[in-house]
Amino acid sequence: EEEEDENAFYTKELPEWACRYCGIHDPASAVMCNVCHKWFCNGRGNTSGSHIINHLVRAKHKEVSLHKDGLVRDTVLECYACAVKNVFVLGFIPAKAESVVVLLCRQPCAAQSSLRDMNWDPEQWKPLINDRALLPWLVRVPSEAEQLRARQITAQQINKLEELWKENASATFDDLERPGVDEEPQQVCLRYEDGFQYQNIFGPLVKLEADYDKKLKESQTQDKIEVRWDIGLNKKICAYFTLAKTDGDMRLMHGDELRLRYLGDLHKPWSGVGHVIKIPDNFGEEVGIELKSNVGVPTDCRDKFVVDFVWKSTSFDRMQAALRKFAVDDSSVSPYIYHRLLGHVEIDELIFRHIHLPKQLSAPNLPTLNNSQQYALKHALQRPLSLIQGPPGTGKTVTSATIVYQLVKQTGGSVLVCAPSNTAVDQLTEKIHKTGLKVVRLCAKSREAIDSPVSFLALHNQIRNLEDNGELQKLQQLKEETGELSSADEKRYRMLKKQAEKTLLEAADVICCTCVGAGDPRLARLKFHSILIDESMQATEPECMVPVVLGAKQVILVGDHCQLGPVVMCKKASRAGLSQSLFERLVVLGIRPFRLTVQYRMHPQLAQFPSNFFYEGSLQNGVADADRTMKGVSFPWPQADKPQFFYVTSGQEEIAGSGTSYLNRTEASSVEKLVTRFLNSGVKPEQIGVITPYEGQRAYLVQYMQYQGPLNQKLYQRLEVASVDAFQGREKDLIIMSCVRSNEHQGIGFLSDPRRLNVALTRARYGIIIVGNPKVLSKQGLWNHLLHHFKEKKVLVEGPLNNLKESMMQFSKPKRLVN
Amino acid sequence: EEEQLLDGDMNVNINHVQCEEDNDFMSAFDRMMADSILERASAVPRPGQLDISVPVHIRSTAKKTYDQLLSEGTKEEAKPVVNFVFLTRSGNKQQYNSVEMPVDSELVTKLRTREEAERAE
Ligand SMILES: [Zn+2]
Ligand SMILES: [Zn+2]
Ligand SMILES: [Zn+2]
Repeated sequence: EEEEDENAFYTKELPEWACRYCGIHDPASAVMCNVCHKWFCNGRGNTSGSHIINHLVRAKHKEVSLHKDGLVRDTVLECYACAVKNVFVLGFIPAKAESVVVLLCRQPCAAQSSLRDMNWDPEQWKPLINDRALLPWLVRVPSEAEQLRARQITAQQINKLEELWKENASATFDDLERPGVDEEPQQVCLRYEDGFQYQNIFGPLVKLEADYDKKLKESQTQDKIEVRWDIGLNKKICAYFTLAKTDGDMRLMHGDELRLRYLGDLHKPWSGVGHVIKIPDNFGEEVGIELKSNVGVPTDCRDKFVVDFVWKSTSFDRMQAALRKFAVDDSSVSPYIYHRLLGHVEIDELIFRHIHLPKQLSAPNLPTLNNSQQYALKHALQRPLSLIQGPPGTGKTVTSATIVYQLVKQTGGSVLVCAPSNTAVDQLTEKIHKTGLKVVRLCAKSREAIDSPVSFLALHNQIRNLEDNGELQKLQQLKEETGELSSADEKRYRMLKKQAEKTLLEAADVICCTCVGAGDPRLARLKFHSILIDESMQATEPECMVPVVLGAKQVILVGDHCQLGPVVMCKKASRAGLSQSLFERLVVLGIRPFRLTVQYRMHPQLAQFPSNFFYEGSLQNGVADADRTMKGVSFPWPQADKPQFFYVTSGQEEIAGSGTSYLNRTEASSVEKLVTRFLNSGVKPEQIGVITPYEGQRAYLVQYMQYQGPLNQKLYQRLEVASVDAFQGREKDLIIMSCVRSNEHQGIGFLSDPRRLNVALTRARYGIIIVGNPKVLSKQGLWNHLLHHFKEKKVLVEGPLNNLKESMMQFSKPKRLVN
Repeated sequence: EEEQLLDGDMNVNINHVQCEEDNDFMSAFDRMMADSILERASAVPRPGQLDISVPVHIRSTAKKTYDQLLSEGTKEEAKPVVNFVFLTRSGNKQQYNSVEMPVDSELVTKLRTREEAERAE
């Protein structure tokens, strides 16, 4: 009988305002999303937020209207004073002596002191969203009976429905049952039969990631943009503007493409594409792009612009092409490499016995290698496939550069050197250049305008400085001065440029580029027998394959599978195994990585925990305590010989569900005090790195320090505040890490990944301070260990900076042990 | 105890099911809240925007004693409510809605305390 009841409930034609999740359709409980015009109820069902809030958060929509027959009639919720409509910042304040309340935004309207004179009581401001639902006097919460009778939609189903809506806005709950929606892609394997199977598994995963990336980029259009115009050094027009922060998933990077469109009526319609040349940083939240063409740009207009994100398929196309080539082209890699990469272990490990190892195991102008680095070098030179594991600070870049030098000396042929990120490529390029080899840094065309320490090695700049090509230079000059060439000249220019590029690339000893950069058509004709990939644990397998299929007979993967892996945004693809690097899989297959074991970065005290926990205690210290003690800096370390501590902050700010405590003002103010103390004692801002988990917290901290810190704003500006991921591969003298409150439900998210914790703990050279709440963190096994480590060292402290005392706080029991 | 849980409107969450998707939702909620607040952190009010005095014709209806409010707001239902005027806007138009606040809400309690204090004077 009950079932029948339920069926009747669904088959009945529901009104427009019925909740798109559960079907509840009492007008008093109904709220419409103003962005997608779907209705939702204010009941939670079996989730921890009401359905409307579930929708707003998952779809990243922020504005709502109420029903005409609701508790509050037919109204768009907006601030009474400034008309802002984001419900996440709306709330209300009461009048002092009357039964009147007014709808106001938290900032700036409710924060005005003048309100008090108008008989309002701004201290009593309360948000419209409480405990992840709208206030019940505004939108009725359906009763228990109503909710039980409605469709029992789960959080998983809600997720899927929201995903479906991205493709088909009118999809309904029933479409969830449609075949295909739920299909999970095939999991990656440890071993593959052949290159075809390999392609058949990775191809669809790359496609999933590409689709996800495309959808994400294309949903980021922003309007009402005000533009500031400027002219770059190369006479190109640049546009600067501020984008609203819509989504933490979306990271804008140098070289990304944005399209600017003019919608006003002071100029005829215009749109132009440009490359990002500036992203939000400590010096300002502005984004800058350099336009591709100067023609018809409405530089006399300032507002009414729209910004679209331009999705480019290039990197995904290159990965797919590499997978295809690996499958069908037997000259893409040597037979040995082919079988080894596929995991055919019956192939014996090959050692190049004919190789004469050099007597001098080093390279000109680079530091002499230590023992473990020398072994790594020999190991790599003697094998067609080798893994070199470089824990933090163990001289991975110098070792790689020396290997490259010796490879060139040995083979005489050119070596291809890649890494997943441009920063890593630049670092390695710089070192290899020092050895005196002929190096070309190949950049994506979209990044040619971006300056780097090795700009002078970039192919496009080397061409500019070629001595014996007067005609090309003249044309180039003409192009730069006038912006545009005649079509005949353009043709000639391109031909000459191509020739010059070819000559330079063929003459190079070493070509350096990113992994996907290796798919550049300019390299298509070249063959590389020796390929070294640095930071290879940060690349997905298909990404690694892009350079490998250029003819590899010898592959050297440098990396550290105990540090962060590749970023895969599509959860489906990530779950299916795309986020496992080739390095990692080869380790699992039993290829032993050769580990560098002497670390030169951290104060020995700081290296202790990471060494024991992540590297089986194998890290030795190449530096002594005295080398890593800051001279002339007085700082109240709780233990003078141990420049580290855990600064206990309590979670009093955790106002249930309001979410505002997420910013953790207490931690921000602790971080500011620590930073100020360091700066006051003579530390330079550039020496300090502040690690915070989320983009929101980064922006808050930057702002907080610059406006609340007692010292000159400029000092705080020079400080680097970023996520763990942004610090990977780099170091700072001092690290302050703000863990940010994590509530009971949420777990500790980003910090529960052991590899991320390892990276966070190993960035500092002289000292590290972790600010956080041990009660919450200790629930996680790994953190529990770390906290006990700090406690044993008597560096788990609380209280004011000038009077730090050992904290007696009891830890929670760990829920489960990761790792 | 369960009884009490279902009593307050906010707590109708009968079959809460804990799962990864729900946890993700909670962190995404926190992030959205934090980002929204941050986005407004440096906003400054435009002059003249903040003249939000209580309109006179509302004043006469809204200025009642707590007891008066209570008697007119209470219906036969178990839960007594108090009528408040809720000022909102729609485009350039101001709107006045009557809303029912639970009698045990902080808002109502504060109003009563204030009145009692005034009376005592
Ligand atoms: Zn919506
Ligand atoms: Zn619902
Ligand atoms: Zn406002």
